[in-house]
Amino acid sequence: MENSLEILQQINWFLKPVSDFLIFMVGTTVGRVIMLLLFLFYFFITYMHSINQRKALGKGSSSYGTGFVPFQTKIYFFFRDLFAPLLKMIVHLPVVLGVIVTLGLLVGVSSALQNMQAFAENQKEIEQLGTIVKQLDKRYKVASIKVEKTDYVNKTTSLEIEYFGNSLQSPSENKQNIIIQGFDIYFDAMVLNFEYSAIQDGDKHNLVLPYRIFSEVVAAKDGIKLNYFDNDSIPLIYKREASEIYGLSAEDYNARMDDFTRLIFDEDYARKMGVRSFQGNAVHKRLAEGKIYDIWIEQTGGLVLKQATLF
Amino acid sequence: MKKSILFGIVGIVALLLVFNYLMPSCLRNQEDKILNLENVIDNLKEESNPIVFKITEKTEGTISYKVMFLDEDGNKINTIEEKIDGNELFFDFFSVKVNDKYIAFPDKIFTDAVPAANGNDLKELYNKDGFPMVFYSEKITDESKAALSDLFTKIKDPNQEIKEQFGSVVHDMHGIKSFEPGYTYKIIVHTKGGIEIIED
Repeated sequence: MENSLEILQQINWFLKPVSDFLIFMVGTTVGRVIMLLLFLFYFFITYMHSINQRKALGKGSSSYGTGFVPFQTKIYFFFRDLFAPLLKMIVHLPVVLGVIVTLGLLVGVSSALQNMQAFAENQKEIEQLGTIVKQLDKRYKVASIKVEKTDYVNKTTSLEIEYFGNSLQSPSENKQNIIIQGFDIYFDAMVLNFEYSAIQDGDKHNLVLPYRIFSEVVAAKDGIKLNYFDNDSIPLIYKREASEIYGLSAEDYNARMDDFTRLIFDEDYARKMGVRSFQGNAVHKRLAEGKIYDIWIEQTGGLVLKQATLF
Repeated sequence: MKKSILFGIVGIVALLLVFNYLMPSCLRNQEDKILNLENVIDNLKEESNPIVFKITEKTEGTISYKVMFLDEDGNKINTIEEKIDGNELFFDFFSVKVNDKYIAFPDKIFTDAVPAANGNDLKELYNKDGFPMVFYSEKITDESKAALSDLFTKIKDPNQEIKEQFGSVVHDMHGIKSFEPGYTYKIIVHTKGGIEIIED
């Protein structure tokens, strides 16, 4: 695309000014007035030349010559010089037509090249905007919560939580079963949101670390810790492909952990990396027995909770 | 030979005429597409700011805060100043999908030490004659106003069932990233349902 744009620009660099000039002269009132003035100037020069020539001939032909040009002769010169160019054009009609067609072709080719250039540029913009929409509209599944049981006698809810650690959205092997007091269940996580500019380029993803469950009757500090780690104690967020974390090519766990810690605690570094906000975010709902709910992290920022069947 | 040149020229002219005649409509289509994509991006990035808050004092186990409610145009609706037990301050919102966009009603304030059920209800603080003033703007239509009032009434009634809704709480994290006394924070609601706290 870049190459074709450059080629079109190179071809059109000399055609466009000529075409613009022709369009200006023929297509605008100012241009037409200029052409008329040029013609009048040409006519005036030719006419004056004819008169002066006649005067010189008059003076030269007799020693008594005064160079006087009769009015009839002036009228004759006026019409002759006015219509001579037109008659010449009629006489040389094929050549005139050839020139007109050539100029028309030049304008047409230039206009076609400009249209092609505009088309290529628009196509490029559409692709760029499409990529931005795709990136901003993305969401990643963080966890699925299956409501095993809502016990109205003991006022508890039993859940099975399945975590999703990578962008392929495949669940981890670790599932967690939780029984908690209450029915309105809060799924709490640390969320790190990047700036739109970083997200829309596609090189960064908002990060999420689920860490506790609480409810409308269980305070957050008494909540149940979530096991959002794999068998090697690596947070599942890092089970993503290295290229999909946030543009870092960190190879090992320590480097990744250090980086995440730095993003959280080093404000200057976080700002440099394009972090917009870092916060706790709990999504919650009165969950219905037998239903599955998914928790997603949105690329525009924050968590959302939806019933699994909605997707 | 002359004939073929003539035909060639006529062909080129015809081709150029057709090309230059058709291209503007192609370009218009592209421009419409660009405009549409720009609107989609604007919608994705659209956000509102119903709450601005400030931590006035923080001691181990208590938080004093000042909360200001704002309408869509950024005008002040109401302000509260309270003290609550806990180390982490939670702002609870009720998010509902309306016309493919999520809107969020400020619901409660509680803390890590106070369960949600015992939190401070916020809904009456921005309620004016049944209308949730956080959605007020000079441009709002009577139709939207009526629909929002209706939705607000349903939200206030726990027995009412509302489709495509969930609660979303944003908070600081004690020992990791806490709200600092003296700083002002604003809560941003995204149309895709996410909620964020940004230092003002």
